[in-house]
Amino acid sequence: MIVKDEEKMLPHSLKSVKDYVDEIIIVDTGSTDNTVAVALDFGAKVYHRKWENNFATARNDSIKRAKGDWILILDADEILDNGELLLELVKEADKTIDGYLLNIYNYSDENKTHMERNAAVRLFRNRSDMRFFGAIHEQLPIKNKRMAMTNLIIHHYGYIPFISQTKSKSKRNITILLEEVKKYPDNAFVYYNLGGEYARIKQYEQAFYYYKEALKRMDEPTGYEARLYKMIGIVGIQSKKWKETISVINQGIKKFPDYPDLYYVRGLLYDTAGNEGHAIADFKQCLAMKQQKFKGNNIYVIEDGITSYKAQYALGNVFEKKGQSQEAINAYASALKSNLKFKEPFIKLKRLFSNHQHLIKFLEEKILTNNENIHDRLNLAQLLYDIDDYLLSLALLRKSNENNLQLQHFLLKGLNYFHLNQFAKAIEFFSKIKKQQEEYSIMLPYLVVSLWMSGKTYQAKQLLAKASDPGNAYKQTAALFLTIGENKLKKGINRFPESNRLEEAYRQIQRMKGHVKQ
Amino acid sequence: MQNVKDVADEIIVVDTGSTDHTVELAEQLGANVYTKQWNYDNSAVKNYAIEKATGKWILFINTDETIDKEDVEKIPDLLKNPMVEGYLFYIQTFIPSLKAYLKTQALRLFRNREEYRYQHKVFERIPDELINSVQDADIIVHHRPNPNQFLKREEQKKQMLEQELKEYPEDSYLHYVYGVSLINRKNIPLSIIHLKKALQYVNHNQIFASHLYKILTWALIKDKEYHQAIQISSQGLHHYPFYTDLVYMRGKAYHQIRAYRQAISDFERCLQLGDAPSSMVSEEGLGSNQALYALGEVHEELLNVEKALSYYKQSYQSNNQFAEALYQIGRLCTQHEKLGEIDVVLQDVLDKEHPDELMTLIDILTIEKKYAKALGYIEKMIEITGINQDILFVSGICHMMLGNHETAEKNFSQISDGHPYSDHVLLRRIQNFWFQQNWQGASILIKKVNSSQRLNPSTKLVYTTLQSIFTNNYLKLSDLDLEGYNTLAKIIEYLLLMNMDVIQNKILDWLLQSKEGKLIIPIGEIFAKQRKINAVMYMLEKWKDKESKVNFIEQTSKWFYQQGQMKEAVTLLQSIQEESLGVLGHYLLYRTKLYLSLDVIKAGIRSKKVEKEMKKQLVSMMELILNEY
Repeated sequence: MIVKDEEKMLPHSLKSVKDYVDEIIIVDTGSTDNTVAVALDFGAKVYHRKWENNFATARNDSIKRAKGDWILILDADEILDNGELLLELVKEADKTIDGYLLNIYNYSDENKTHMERNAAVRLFRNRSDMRFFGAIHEQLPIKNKRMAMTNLIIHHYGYIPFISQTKSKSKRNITILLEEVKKYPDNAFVYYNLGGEYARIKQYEQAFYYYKEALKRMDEPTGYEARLYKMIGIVGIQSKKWKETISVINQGIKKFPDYPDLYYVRGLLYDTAGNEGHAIADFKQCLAMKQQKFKGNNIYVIEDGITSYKAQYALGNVFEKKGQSQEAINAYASALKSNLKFKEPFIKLKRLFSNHQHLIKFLEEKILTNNENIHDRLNLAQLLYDIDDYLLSLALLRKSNENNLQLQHFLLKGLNYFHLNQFAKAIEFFSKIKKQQEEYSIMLPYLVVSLWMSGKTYQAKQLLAKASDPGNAYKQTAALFLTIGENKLKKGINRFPESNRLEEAYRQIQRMKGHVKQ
Repeated sequence: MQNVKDVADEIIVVDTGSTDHTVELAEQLGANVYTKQWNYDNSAVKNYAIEKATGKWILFINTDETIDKEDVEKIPDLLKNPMVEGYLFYIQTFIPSLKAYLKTQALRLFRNREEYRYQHKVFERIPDELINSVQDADIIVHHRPNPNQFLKREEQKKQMLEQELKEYPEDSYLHYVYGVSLINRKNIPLSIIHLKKALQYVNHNQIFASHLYKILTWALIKDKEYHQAIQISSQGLHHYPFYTDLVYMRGKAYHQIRAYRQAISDFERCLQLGDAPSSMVSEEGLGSNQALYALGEVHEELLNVEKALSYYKQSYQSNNQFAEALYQIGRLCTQHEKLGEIDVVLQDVLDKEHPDELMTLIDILTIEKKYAKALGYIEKMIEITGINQDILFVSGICHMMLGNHETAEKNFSQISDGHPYSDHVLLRRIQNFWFQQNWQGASILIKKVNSSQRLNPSTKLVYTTLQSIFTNNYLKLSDLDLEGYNTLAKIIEYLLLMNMDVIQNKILDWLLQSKEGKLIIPIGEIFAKQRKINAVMYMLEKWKDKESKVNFIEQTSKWFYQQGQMKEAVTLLQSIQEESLGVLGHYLLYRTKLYLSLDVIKAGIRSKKVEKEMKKQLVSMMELILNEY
């Protein structure tokens, strides 16, 4: 693992592997925080190395120091999903296999709703011919090697905007990549990555340019070619070059006719260009396809939901634009049903139903078709809570079967009542969660605040003092009060934007929160 | 007649059957008096008078009307303009029941031509289609109807008007006049119906049309129909875009529904426009000091208190007759201590060396209950002017409220009965006895109150009822008018400041019968400062006026908050839907949470269960919040 200033993420990452590996090797490239201390805590061997704008050499340096037969490559913002499986793979590996492809799930928002999957060689034999090249997005030489696909998953959080921004990763990467371009002007992969970095910081014109340059230099089949077409489509929408982009995508579809993402992107392009008929056809095509990972030598990078909820949602949008509300409602409902964590189609549905009761009835009849499935109901109620629709969330929870209520049920009910300022009710449901239960520590600050707000200060303080980690409980309760205050203020500012006093107060709390975070 | 006779070649008086000395008096003043039988037809009488006139111009005036000398002198020049056929005068009517002036416009001076004849039996007028080239004369007719006859006349007018309306149900002017007369009779809902009818049939060239929009907007605001008021005034502004009064009214309506941005923009527009052109019925200052004052009020509600202060100051500076702005500054400073002490804040607009201005300052300090400070300035005042009765009065009040009851009585008793405030002195002396629980002393003075000519009936009722309550003779707590409740509210404030009970003996209940919540809000403040949450909750339970309830909760909660009584502040804020809270409410929602957050951190720091390392974190968190706090 190569690290720099990762004290926050590192413990999670190391925790996920420490019981399944013989040694942990970390190359630190100049951390100024507690990264090294954290690594040592986990028993890692830490080496220091000056950062030379090159991931490949740094990685190779770390591999060089490894003593085992197999190498697992992991980053500080990644978490291994199932360590047991890792052990099995290594134990039962066929001698002819040189390495394994692991599934990488990339999350781009904090709620983990937007996710992109790809596969990469992360587990391979410790041999001198298995060494990295490429300054960023370093690759292993896989030509003529035997790689096998696995079910092993790595969760990658590096592209959640908040995290990337604080590290200004993209800017750093661009500087490195621009140097690389000078060194290897014919290397398509460098251009491809440069396009990706520009896309990430929303400079779509540049992204479009570099992606197309990558396409020009594509002289042999590569694993990322299909995704390159898709990315051209996505940045093409943003930079409004619809016509040109559509013709590039058509080219891509000819080459990769079974890659659903391309139809999806073309549908979006048609939609923004105003050609609704073609858009509908493309989205319907997506829905008729299956997600697949391999086609010949191509490893498709698959975006979750393209063949189901995302296409259905996109379809709903087109129908709504055309004024076909009933079709739109059906499409949104299918999208929501395929993914109960997907907020957008619900928000659209809510707008199409002016009557609260009708909406509830619709949700009961069309979405929660299986009445026994408390999990679905809970997920949907959670979604409603997340978008601040507490009354509707409670309405759904109220209909659940009282006999097999789960703890999350109580928690969610309590939280809904909490946000509706009905503290007595909130206390009632929070109190059903017992101290030894996992949800207790999440719930405790809310319970304390509820007690406080209903005048039961003494009880509230007692609870804090008796918490298993009192320090954290005090801290979290204080932070919760701040967050509530901030929310009230936000509401006030939305209603009365002319008040300088409220605005001043808002800046004040932003400063406080900034400090508290530090 | 006295003033107009200098410019009139002849004065024609038509008598419709007086039994007093009217005819003789008119003849003595040189009028030609004619008699005509009264047939309930104003037009017939007026046309009869015109027939008798021999001059080239007609000027109409009624016996309860006067025109100022300066205005009369303008008339000869007006007659020289060959382009004009008639002139509009303002009629400023004093309405005894409302204690307010109503200003309208009417054709009172016009050429003596055969075609210019009055029509309609009541609210007679020469129709617009008969006379062209009418101009505004900028002359005011002061109309002071005899208060004893006013209501009777209004009733008469009403009946006649109703007859007319039956005959001409689509006559815009009749509906307009009827609507206005209904406002005089305080029947706002019905007046709105007629004013809307008037609007339905109006022709926008008619001279009363602009005023119709204004008065309808005014009535809608009175009736709390703010959205309609905005709609009507906007419609009016489409026709009369420079009518400042209408812009101002719309601004007020926007303010009421808390559409602050629009309100600010309307009041700023008023300032751009200045007062309305003289061809329209307008009130003074709406394009200057009144608009500045209104901007101050908006910003005060937005808690932009420095801005509010600056607008109030500008308001006074643009018209130094407008002392309301100064009193408002006093109130603002009391509400927001960070602005500084009242006398310091007023330093740059009030000249303390000038006795009148110094007296204003003393008065403001007394109203804001800064009695000790007021006494300081009273000494300064004595240095400048020596002792006089005004000074004795105000210093008596200060001493009384500071508990020096004997000094107060000494001061009050030195004021002579002939003093213009002598009735108020009497009332203060009664209070002074009450505060000393000297019911005997008060009872003698109460008799004097009852025989006073000048005190109004509701004030008398308040004082006698209170005296009977104090002496355990229970009297019925009858409903009061606005002024009565106002008097009662002030007394309750003083009683509370003197730590006397107002709940057990039902005095507070009496006040809570009032639907005018604004009066009662200051009492919440006193209870809050005395940390009596139960009393506040009791008031809230009995609260009648929906509109002021939010205000009461916000203000009272603020005082609890300022004393660090979060539990009480939070309880109050929770007693109402969060959505209905205004700027202050939202600000308090935030500040109370901030305070509670600190409270939790402090508890954590004190707790023995928290480890050292964690305590360090909590301490630094506390410091960060306190730093901003």
